[in-house]
Amino acid sequence: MSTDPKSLHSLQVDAWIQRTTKGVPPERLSVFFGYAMHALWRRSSVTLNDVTLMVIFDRALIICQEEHPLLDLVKLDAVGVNLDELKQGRQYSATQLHQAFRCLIIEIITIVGSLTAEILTAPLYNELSLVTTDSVSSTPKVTHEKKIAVKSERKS
Amino acid sequence: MIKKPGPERIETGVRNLDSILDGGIPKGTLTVLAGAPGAGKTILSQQMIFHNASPEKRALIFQTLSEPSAKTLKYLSQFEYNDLGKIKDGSIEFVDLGGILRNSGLESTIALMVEHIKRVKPTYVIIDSFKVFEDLAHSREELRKFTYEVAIHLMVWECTSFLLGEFSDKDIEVNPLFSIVDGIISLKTREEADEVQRFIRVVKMRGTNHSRDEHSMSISSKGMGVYAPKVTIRRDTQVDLYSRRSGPARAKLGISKIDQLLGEGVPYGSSFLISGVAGTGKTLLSLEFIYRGAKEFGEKGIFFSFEETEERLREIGKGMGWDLEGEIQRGNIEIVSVAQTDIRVEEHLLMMQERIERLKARRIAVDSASVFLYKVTDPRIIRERIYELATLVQRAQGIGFLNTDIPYGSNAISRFGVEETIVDGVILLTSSEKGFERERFIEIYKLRNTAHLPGRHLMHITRDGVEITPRIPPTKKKRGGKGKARK
Repeated sequence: MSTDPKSLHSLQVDAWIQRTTKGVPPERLSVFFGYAMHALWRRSSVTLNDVTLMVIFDRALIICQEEHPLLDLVKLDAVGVNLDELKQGRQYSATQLHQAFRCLIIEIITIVGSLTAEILTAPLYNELSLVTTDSVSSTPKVTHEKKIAVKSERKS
Repeated sequence: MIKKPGPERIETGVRNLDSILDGGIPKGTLTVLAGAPGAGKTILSQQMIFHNASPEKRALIFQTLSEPSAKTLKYLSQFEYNDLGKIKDGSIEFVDLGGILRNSGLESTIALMVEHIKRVKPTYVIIDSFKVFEDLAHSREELRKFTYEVAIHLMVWECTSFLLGEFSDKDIEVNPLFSIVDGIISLKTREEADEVQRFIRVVKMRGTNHSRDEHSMSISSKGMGVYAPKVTIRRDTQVDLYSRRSGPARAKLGISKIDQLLGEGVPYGSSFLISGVAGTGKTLLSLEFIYRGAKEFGEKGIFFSFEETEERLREIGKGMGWDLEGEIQRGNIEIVSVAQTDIRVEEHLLMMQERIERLKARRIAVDSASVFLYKVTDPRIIRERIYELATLVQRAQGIGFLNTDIPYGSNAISRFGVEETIVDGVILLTSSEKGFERERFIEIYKLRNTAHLPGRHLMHITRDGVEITPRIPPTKKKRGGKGKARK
């Protein structure tokens, strides 16, 4: 069994996807993955500043966009990942969404792990494990506009 | 306790630089190469990049206003490390930022740099020169923000990056750039012993146990080479460099009856100072030591001459009736001659190390150590260099003869007054007038760990080489004991 960090991250992410996304319809999947991205951003931002996070998520996106063009619709800004265009655009299959976000999440954890000597890896795994279909449905819907508003409120 | 593995390193491709860096540049780090114009920053960075870049691990070289890319490419062609194929296949890409810097300022420049980084996804990045940004920034805040953003992008993309700049020692203390970076390598030139010499120092390299000393270096068509004998010539605690596994632990020298003076023989790994005023036979004794080793004992030998030419030494051998030529042709003996005016101590020490190891020499002569070090004025450095010469012998598990000229009329036994404290033995060659003749003497003045015959013994230089007549003390018949030996 390979012990390189990326392989270990893949195992974790695959297990999480299998555990949590079974039976989720495609139109809900992008919302679900949006929560997952938000969770990773939020946990990383405790340790890493937003400039660094922007570049990390941007790098992960660029790497994954080559194989998964639907990720072109994922946008980044100072408050995190914006999936609004993806949610409003054409419908993608569950497999397409699974594969694209699997790639993105693994890439983000790999980059953060590599930059922090894997210190943030366990907290990110933990954060990801808390994102379930139940937690998503019980959480009030957070739109990207709301996140921006919260951030500007905090600043003021 | 298990030692955690350090960061992965990349080889620099610069001779001996990896040794002073304790294994190379840590992967994914940001290093400043600081130095005045002409100090070698561009050459060093490019040599490292050309050594490492490949289609899978690409390199981006950002040229700023300090030097247009066309000029860099033109001068690049004179170096052997320049592999044009790496530019053709896209392993190395030059990006000239001059235009955008001149017209649009720092904000647009970083946007363009990031665009290139995203496109190429480089493993290595050079910014040549970063100092230009300081000159173009409208404020310290703008510069600080720009520097921070560049550093973040290079860090997140895990590029091993080199920022070049005409930074001084003062800049290293006060410029905020230097607190962001992982490494600082300082390059300098200055005049020493009437020659302009180049130096390199690793000021900082996070996560490594690098050498903190300044080391000399040179730049030739092969690129940069660093000479760091203090780091690379280390005593071999394992002793066994190549052939110590079998054979005797002590050597016979085989020159006339000298072995009668040396008791049970000389331990391998020992170095001798062959000490005497001019004309006492040091060169001849050393040459015969090398010759006899090859001829009588099958031990390969190397003679480093800083006084005589190779031709002259070959003539001496011929004049003595030795088959020196034959031993040279059979590959058992090498003579390496360096003109006094060409001596560069650190560079030649490493040359000696390489030649000794390549030949697997067991006999090593340096004629003379005093001429080899004549330009060095600092006694501390002389001591270090003599120690390194002795270390070369120790590492080779051979026997070394290091010749030294004593000034006429002095009571010293070495030129610099420190050599005898470092070597394992001292052979003193003297002469005195006797009637109309001059008699030569040889004396084992010092020999560690070996019982030897003390006092002066007659030595003649004959047509066959050195002839020694040991003055054997009378044996004490009553007790049936042996002659008194000094240990």
